[in-house]
Amino acid sequence: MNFVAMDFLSDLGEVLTRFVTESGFAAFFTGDGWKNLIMIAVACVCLYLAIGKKYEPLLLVPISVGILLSNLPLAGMMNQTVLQELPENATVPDLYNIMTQYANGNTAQSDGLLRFFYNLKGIFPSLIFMGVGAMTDFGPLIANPKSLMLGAAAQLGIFVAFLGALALGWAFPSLGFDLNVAASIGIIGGADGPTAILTTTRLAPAYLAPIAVAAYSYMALVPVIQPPIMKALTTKEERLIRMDQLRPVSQKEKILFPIVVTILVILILPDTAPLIGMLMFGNLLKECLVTRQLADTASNALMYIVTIMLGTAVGASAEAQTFLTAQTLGILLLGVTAFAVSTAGGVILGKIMCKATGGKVNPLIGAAGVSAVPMAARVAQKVGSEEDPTNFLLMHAMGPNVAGVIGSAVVAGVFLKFLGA
Amino acid sequence: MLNSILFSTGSDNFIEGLGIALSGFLITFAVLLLICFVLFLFGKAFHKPQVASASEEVVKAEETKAEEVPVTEPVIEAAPADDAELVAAITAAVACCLGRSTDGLVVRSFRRIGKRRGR
Repeated sequence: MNFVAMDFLSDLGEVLTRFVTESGFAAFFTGDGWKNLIMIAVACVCLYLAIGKKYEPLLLVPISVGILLSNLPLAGMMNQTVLQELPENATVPDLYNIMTQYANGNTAQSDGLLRFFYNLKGIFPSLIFMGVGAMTDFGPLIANPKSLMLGAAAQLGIFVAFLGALALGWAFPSLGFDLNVAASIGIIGGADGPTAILTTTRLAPAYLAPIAVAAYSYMALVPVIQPPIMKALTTKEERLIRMDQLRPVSQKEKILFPIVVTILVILILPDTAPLIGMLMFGNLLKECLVTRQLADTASNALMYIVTIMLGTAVGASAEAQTFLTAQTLGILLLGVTAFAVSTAGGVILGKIMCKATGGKVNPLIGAAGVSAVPMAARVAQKVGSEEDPTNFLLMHAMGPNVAGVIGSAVVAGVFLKFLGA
Repeated sequence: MLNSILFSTGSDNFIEGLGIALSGFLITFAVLLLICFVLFLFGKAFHKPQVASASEEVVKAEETKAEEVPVTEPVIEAAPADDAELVAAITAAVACCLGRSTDGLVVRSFRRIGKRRGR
């Protein structure tokens, strides 16, 4: 009887010990497991910022949950398929056998749930651009075409960060910042998440996590990053400038605009087709007035579905082993530099246009040329209204803002053309 | 190609990147300038400020309806200094009532028709 009890207790102890040692908690204390703990803390901070502070919650909540799920040890949410082990001295029939098993779904390890989302990352940016197009009113841009120049000037940060990354790669070769990685880092300055993701997916997929996280984080921080730069570069008199009311835009113009831009831009830069083509397609759905159901789906249901999948996939790609590196630190620093320089580029061209037009352009709207829509335009309105609460710059700032979306897509097309395979 | 990948140094990358950055910035400006030019042509072709559009007539119709309400006081013209803010608010209100965007709506004139105690 005692032997039976001893055996039972021994088995129980063994089972419990195995249960504990094979749990996620134990995994924190083996190998690089502590890095997962740091990433879980990062996920919790991001969740606090999203829920508590309401910083881009629609994006930050899925991203944070993605980070959390992929860093819970042993959960396997981002596992990649691993084939059955090939025997020593394997012959062709052995290889055939393994491939047959793979075709039948018999593998040593299957893709985790979030890996399925991640594998679709190539099409998400285009679908989001379609949704953005279906939500965007290009009226302010059509009414004031000069806004396009502000949208172009605000891409300056992309190129500065691109060169900065190359300089860093030159000074510290171990960082591995080559032309492709530098272009992907630079595109953060476009303040456009989907553009950054598409460019990085094509040019430097290994860096997707830190670049996407940096792009979306800085987009959320636009109200913090931009105002000091805008105020430092403008005088009080310039910030007080009232702009003329925009001319009315006819429906014909709004319908023709996406068609003409699609043809022109894609003929010049074919690599922009996945972004510009879908952006303008979404906009045409909205403006043609005969496809309301499609426009509604693109800008609501589909957009939110894609946001959930893209957000969690991007977050999940931030696994501790690949995210907590010196490269990530460099990317975060270069990203904020890109944002700041882009803002400055827009404001400086705004000042030049202000002088050229005899004070008819408020330089603050230049800062909206970074394409974080509509937050950058709201920031221009807010900074302007701090000086004069009756000065309404929002509609004027929307022009450069949507021009920035086109501008960053064009820059992405340029990078893909010069550096893509 | 393989050699250039294997043996390229940071300085080579930087010099090549400088060329890409400069040409990229120029191309971006050129493309957006082209769109800008097309939009100027749009303005010339489609925008005729002197012709009142149908939407303006809707606004006038709204004003006419408002004028039909019995008014027990003389109509006061708004002070020019407050016009911009008031026009923006009226345009937004009319657009909201009509369930459309503010594009194409132009407020040409407005008059106060409120009660005396409002002054």
